[in-house]
Amino acid sequence: MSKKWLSLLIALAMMLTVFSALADFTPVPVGSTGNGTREYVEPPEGDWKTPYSEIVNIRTVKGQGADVVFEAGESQSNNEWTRAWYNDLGIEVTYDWIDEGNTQYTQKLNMTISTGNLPDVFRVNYIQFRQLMKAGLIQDLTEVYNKYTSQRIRDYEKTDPDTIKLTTIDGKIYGIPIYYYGVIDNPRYMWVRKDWYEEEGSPEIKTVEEFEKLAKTIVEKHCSYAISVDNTLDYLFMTGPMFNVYLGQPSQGNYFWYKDDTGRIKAGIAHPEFKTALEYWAKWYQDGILSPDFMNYDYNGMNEELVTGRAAFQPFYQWQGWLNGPNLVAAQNSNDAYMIPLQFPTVDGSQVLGQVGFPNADVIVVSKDCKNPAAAMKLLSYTDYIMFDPNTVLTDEQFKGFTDGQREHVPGAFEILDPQADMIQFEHVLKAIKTGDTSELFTSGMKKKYSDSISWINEKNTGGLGAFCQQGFDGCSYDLAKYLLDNDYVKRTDMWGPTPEAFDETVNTMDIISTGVSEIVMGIRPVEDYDQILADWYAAGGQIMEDAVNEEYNK
Amino acid sequence: MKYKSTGQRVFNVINYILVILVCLTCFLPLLNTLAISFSAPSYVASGQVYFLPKGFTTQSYEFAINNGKFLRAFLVAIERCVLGVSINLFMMITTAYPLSKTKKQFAARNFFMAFYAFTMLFGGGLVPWYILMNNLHLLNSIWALVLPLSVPVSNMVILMNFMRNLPPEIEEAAMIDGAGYFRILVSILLPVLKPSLATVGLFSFVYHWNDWFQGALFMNNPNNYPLQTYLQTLLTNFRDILRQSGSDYYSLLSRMNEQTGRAAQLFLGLVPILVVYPFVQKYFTTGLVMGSVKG
Amino acid sequence: MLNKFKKTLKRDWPFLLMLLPGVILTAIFSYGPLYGIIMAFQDFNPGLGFAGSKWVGLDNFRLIFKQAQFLNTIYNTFFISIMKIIFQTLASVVFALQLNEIRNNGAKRLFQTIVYIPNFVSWVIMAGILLNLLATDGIVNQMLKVFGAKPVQFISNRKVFPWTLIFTDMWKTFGFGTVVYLATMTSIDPELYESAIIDGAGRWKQTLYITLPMLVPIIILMTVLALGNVLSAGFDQVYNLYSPVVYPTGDIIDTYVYRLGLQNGKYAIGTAVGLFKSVVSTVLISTSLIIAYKTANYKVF
Repeated sequence: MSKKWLSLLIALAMMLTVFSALADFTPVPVGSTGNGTREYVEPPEGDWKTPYSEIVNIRTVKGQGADVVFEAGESQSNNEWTRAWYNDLGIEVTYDWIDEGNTQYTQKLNMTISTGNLPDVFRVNYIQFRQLMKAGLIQDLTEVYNKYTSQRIRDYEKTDPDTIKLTTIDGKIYGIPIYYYGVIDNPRYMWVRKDWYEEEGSPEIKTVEEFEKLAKTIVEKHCSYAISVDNTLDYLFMTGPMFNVYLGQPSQGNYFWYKDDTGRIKAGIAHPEFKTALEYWAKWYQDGILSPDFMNYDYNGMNEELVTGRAAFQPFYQWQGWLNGPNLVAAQNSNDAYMIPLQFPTVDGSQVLGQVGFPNADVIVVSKDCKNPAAAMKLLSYTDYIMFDPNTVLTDEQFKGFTDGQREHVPGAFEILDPQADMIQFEHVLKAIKTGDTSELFTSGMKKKYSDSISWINEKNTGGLGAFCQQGFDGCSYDLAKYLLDNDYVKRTDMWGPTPEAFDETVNTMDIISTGVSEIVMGIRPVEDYDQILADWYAAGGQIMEDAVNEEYNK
Repeated sequence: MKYKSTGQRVFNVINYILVILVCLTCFLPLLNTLAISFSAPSYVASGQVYFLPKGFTTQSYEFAINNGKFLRAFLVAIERCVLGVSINLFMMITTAYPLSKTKKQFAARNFFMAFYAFTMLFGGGLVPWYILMNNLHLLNSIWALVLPLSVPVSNMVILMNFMRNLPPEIEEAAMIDGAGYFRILVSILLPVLKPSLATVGLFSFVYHWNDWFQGALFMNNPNNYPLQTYLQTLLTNFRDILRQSGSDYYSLLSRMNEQTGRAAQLFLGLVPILVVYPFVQKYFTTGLVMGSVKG
Repeated sequence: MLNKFKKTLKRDWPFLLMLLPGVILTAIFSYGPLYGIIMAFQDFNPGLGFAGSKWVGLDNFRLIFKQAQFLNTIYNTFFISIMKIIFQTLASVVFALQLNEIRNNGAKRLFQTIVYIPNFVSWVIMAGILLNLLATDGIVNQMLKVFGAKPVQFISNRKVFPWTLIFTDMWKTFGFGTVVYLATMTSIDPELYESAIIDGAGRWKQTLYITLPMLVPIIILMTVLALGNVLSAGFDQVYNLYSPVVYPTGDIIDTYVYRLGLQNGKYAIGTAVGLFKSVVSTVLISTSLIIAYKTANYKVF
């Protein structure tokens, strides 16, 4: 037999194996082991899309929203994604467990790690990453990352060069960041009742003084007081940029870190201008701009005040339209009674900066016992390819299979996000709304946001208000954010990464601040007391945190 | 008819008024919750719902039920309750009986009592518990939900005190007839224990029905979640559902929100209790009282 | 010695056999995981497990007990818990006595069932209702206004807040006690009252000298069981009602530890606090048991 024949036979045999493997795709129920091999298989030559010649099994775990819905007859272990991985990549993915509702994921993962029976690929937070590194349980991915991930994913480093450095230890990559939908979703706004704002002629609000004047006029005409915030102070703290201070979320115990004139990184609450903020807030409380009862309002209470029309403003994230839009319109029985975002005014009328915190939450890691780390990289690339690559052409049926019923979140541990996704999405959606040309809506997100917005615009379907306020008109929240980002009017946190380990030596230091601040705002203590409160904070652990942040992020 | 003084009559009237007032304040929150669960979200969010539903809708219930998962989770919950209550009752009876004896009758009694009392106060935490379940291969199985707390100690104490408060003559007569402890327990004590068993049985039923945490922790496959775990995941995700607002949720948004959903969850949890409680109520009081303290 | 043992065993074997299944399961599922307590003395790392994690001695305890705020939460927890026990018992007993005076059995049963209802409503929902009722312009303050009182900030006034917790808890849970105490009252031998009436005792004296003393054993049981939980002053309630401005008087151990978990998933400190709670509860419960036994010869266990 000639060599030619032999290679043809071998090729045929290989194809047969692949096909026979394809033919018997059998879904393995959650919690059971798979049929594919767990031994090392030489990754196929060619780009990441070339399938394995022998079906490789990858075990994983995931936390997933309870809102994911499958087509009839399909399941977590048998759906468009699992079949595509199997058929296109030659990888069989099985789940050790799935935490539906995603409430116990971290807890369950910690416990799974304690049992010593690690899944092959999983998603961890930075604390878990640190612990796994210390225990030596995850493997160096540098080589497979460079060889078997798509160019697109490796290009994410161009958008965000810093994040992957956090999981690169001694030049070796141990974890791939999941990234995020984009910093465009970070800045916060002063949301205002559209109908009341327009009644005043939609004035441009540049200074805090102008804002207060507008607030008082609206209160006089329509409502009980101006700004609705809750008792955690999270939303009051969002107004920090008005006074040139940038603050974290007290309810989560986190701070915003900035570099002062001397180059030292400090918490936003230690900024000298924070006292200006306190003065204004206390004045607002006295003047009826804040509710005398705001300490009674939890999250629901805060929103109830807006829906009932007792307040006109709310400092909030870009997705406020989903939160209060439908209820407001229904309760006030007016299609103009929803809220639109305004840039925060500032004390001196200068350009406000958009506050940008560290956006990456989780990291994808591979257990040191996993024999086929290349498979994990292929799976990551595949998600990106389906979800974000503009060159990917899917049939309607495939598209539906991958994304309907929140199924875009099915990949779980392999769900990597394009850090430009929301920016690109917004540009395409707004353009389509303006021109009516929908041919350039290529991701599921774009299609969804577009059709949502249109359904509000055309049919006044309140379910579409969220998308509309975020992306649907000039002056929507992403439009404001884009302006800030494009012009670099941005305040990035100077702690670009997870909290340092030394934070473990402190406990609940935020309590001192949140209690003290609420007392000052309510007029129980004078603003001058803040120096003492801050000193107490330093003594109770603030110093430790500040030192640790400088140690780690100010080299 | 007994003679009643004027003072007595005045007292009775005032007493009635006070009692009714107190009852009203206790009854209204539940009515409010019920009204919320059947109301349109815009009225709820604007605080307009008091004791009658406004913008009546059953959407909050449909949201939970109109989904293949509900029935499955419901069946898992039933299975768990049947198994869990049976195991609890068996364990409580077989534990309470020996412990109801005095130290003279059963030498190791105090040792075992201390053995159980200790578990009321000290626990090892979740991590070793999970490791244990993993090693015993109980994860993802219904047994993980019913075996761990198979002897609910404080309820067992109630049953034990009930037994202690029974007249000793019952047993003594049987002893003279030559019956052993097992026979006494099964044929003589069990019928007498009915009120107490109904009471602790109800407690254990309520526990198994309402617990969602163990389900979330020990079930690998969401298909095995019991009802309350399933409802909990649905509600914790409601805000995400809002934010991602797919086209399916359009109509949903105008007909339910987190508050109405939670109220509906509460009532779904209450239904079986409301079904079982009337049957148990007549035993409830005797069961509790006689199970109080050995004087 | 061995003989005696054999004799006892021969007599007690049916008891031991009965206990066996429960003891085995309890040993496995309750005693088995107890080693987890050592986490309180470790810098726990799930990857390294219990055997591999670093020992830190009492560092976790030191860190937490160094915090003035934490010591404050211990005080708050005791104060709120104990007041809750006192007021709940008082309310239950008084209401049971009131119901006991009602002769119509149907009405009695209805009232009993109704006051039990708030027990079924979760604190998440209850808090939503209460926050509205207790607002500055809420119903309660409007009523106070009618009587000429100044509005009270039930939720945000530091001095008032613990009492808000105590009374709302009393209102939510007294129905359970009422059912229990009323049942005790109905089980009191009627002959006792009859002989009292012959002695010329009025309703008030009957209550004082017959009904109340008969309630004592069950009050003791309920209190002892409640004391075991004295360091858990009601997480769900406090968490759903409090805010930073009332931390100094309203923050309890469990809410404080919960906020710890938000920051960094501090398992070890949580375990340390749990161990501390267990030890204190043990002391409290043992003391109350001994007192109940020594003074009144009541045995709970």
